[in-house]
Amino acid sequence: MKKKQKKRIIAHGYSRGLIIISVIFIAPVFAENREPKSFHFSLTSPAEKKQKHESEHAAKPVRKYWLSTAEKDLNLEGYLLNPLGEEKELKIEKKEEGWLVSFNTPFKDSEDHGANNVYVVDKKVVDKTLYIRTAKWITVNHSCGWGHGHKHDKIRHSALSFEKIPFEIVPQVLWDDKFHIRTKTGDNLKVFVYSYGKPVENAKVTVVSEKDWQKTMITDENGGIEFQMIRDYYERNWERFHTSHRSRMIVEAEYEINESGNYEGELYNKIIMSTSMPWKYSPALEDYASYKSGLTVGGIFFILTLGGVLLYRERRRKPFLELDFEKKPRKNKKNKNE
Amino acid sequence: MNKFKKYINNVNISRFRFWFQIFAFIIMVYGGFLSIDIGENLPTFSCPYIDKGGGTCFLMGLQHRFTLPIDQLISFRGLAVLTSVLFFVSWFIFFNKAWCGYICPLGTLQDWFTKLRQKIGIRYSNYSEAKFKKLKKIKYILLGLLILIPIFMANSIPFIGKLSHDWAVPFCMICPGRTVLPLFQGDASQLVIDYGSKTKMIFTVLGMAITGMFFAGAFFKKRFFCFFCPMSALQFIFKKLGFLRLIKDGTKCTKCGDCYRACDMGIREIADDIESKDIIKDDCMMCFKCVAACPEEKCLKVNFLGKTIYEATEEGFYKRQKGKK
Repeated sequence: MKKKQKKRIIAHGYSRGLIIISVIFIAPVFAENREPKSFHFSLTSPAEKKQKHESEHAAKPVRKYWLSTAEKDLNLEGYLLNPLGEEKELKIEKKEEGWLVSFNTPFKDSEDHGANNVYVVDKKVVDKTLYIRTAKWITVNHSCGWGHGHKHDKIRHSALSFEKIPFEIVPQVLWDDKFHIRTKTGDNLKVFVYSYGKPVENAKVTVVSEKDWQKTMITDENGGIEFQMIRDYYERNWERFHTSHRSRMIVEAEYEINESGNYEGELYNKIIMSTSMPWKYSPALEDYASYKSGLTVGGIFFILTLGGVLLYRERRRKPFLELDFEKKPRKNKKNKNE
Repeated sequence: MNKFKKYINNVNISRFRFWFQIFAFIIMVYGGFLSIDIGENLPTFSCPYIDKGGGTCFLMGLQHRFTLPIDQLISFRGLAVLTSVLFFVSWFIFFNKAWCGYICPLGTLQDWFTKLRQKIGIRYSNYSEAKFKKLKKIKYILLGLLILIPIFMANSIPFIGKLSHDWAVPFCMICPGRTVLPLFQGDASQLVIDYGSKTKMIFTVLGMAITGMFFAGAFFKKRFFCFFCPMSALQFIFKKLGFLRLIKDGTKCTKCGDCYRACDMGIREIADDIESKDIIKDDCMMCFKCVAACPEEKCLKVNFLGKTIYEATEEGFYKRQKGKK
């Protein structure tokens, strides 16, 4: 009896222990994760799966971008910085498919022909943490038809930062002096992280490629990191390989500050800032072009032309004939008939 | 004034041209380093494939602008094409075809090849009259194609459909300017065969084949590529608008043939034609070597807006001949 009781007590103890363990370790898995996720801009709504890429050669009078999140309760503030560094109006709309921002771009060669920075900022307190989430998109408003008159104006080509933005990614250079985007596989890209226009040291920057390869780096004292774009586009069939294929990459940054405060009546003791900036890149020339073949073709035609000219000259060279005045001149056919 | 005129008429035009061409070459090829950007619709091969060139060849923009659906081409967007043509013409009228003879960097390069050949002492080649007549038609065919192909990229051809984007800027793809001129900035990236698509591959093979022929051809034949140049054909369409003119007084011509022998392009009419006053032919590059070689007083003249700025004189001819010796 005593033995049986003992066994029952032990079994009871085990089951109670199991329940406690499951509460501690398993329950959080099923609990609602209230931590807001970072978001980014996209050309397609969150419902659409297909990726689209913007062309800097196709100028549009109105630019529209979707936010990648399906969250409905966002408190978004929008900012637009034109190529001259002036703040312009950005329209934010809550649609059924998600959040849509839009703005007008002059459809002509005007002073603000160049790179525009589009931002949305969302702030909210969750579990005593203030989350400041920023999404950034850079769009190059350009058409070759408008000309490249600003190609020597270095300031116009540099990427801008905006002192009103709590947290943002600023690329060093992503386009050339003609506003053509030429980010290629294998390029070394440098980006900086700024908070209200000042560099942020020790921010965590993650670069995510098209097929979700990731690399995380920590910013230096200038807020900068450098990384090499990896090749992420392979086609087994040559016919299907596109040299102009655009792969998407998203650069994300995160930074935590242990700071207490009050945001709209809610107390927090920590701030987590996050930001994102999507960009695109194409296969490098080395992936699909060959110097060896080029120089071989050029060389062959050079030799053929050279040989052709020399041969032609050689064939036209008349044999040396010594004039012999004593010899009688040969009669031609006509004379013979006569 | 007369002294100045005499000085000009006695000048060695080839030497002046040699230095002017070097100056123009520096501006066109390295102008970007000096923050020089002359414009985008230049009537010369200021190749846009040069990273820091001083301007942009009109043919590049022309091919881009014609990539439009017909309905748009005849609507307000067609105005962009028209405006660019007007810009081209406004550049062109100042120097007329002297853009080829004095400014074109690809032409200058060919002249340097000629100088090298002369230094080595190898004789030059020339086309026969029949071949010359046939070959000169090629540039008009190329001009037609470089307009038609972009149009067919934006408009369907019956049974074929639209041409793919790989057909973009077809003339640039085969132009030796694209492959050769960037080399002067240390950029060899155009010397490749592009295996990205069949069309690109064919174009780049053609481009490299023409580049190979260009090097060998320009060595033996003076201004080898200029016979096939669609820019020359386009310029000829507007030649009557040019301020700069080459005028011939047929009554003073003795048909000695000196002008023909001096002509790098081998234009026979310069000696044979005694009827025409305006003697600029489609292959002429207005180098004015013919004027310098003419021994007849005031037979050949260079006019700018009706004013004679350079003319053939006996004195000038003898002075230049003396200088040669």
